Amino acid sequence: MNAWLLAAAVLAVGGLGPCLPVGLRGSPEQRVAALDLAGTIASAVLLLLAQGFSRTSYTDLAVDLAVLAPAGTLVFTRLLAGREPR
Amino acid sequence: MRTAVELLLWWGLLLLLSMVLISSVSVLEVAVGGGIAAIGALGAVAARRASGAALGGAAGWARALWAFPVTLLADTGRLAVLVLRTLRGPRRPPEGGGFRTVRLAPGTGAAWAGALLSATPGGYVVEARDGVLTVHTLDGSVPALQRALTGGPR
Repeated sequence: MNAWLLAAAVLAVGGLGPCLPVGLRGSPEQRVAALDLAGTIASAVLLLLAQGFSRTSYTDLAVDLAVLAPAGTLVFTRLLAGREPR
Repeated sequence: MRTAVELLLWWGLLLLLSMVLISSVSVLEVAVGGGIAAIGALGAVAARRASGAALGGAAGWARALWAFPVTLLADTGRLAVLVLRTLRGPRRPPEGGGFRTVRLAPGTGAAWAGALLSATPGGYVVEARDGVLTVHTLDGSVPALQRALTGGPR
């Protein structure tokens, strides 16, 4: 257990932890906000894990997620757009 | 000539993206990446032509690029506060969140400005018409990036 892995564990519990109940129980808009934050935190956790395990190839997953997660959020936001009158 | 330059730009961009997303760069990887990027570039040019999109003016790009990382960090912080507040307090949406119209500064291209705004957690551009963007925002605050794109105060 090194500092990177410890930081990853703290961020996973402290960051992803609150996102889970909000993502499961909130209103659709609040769920999207939680999903967006969870994507960002998951990318950071994966980066910390890659550093902690000294495997540079693991960063690929974090970089891929960092690119794809916001795109997924945008799709959900677009679907929610019809719920509110302009 | 214009099409060739556009194809080359898309190809370079896609090849760069594929190089970033792989761990070890070998000759075979570059060859495969280059081939797939060429197909992707053809598709990108065709899609852009079909949509009639144009880059627009480049006014204010340096200020917007400078404001982007600041806005990215600030918005992520606001998003975290919002999620935590939802967790403990009464579940009502933040004040001022929702659709808002943003008039871009003259000469600022709606395409790149919209893409940059949508890349931050605090805003998502749903429509662009005659230099006016319809943005869905997280709350009522005006981020640095938006001030940069509208030519507002620093």
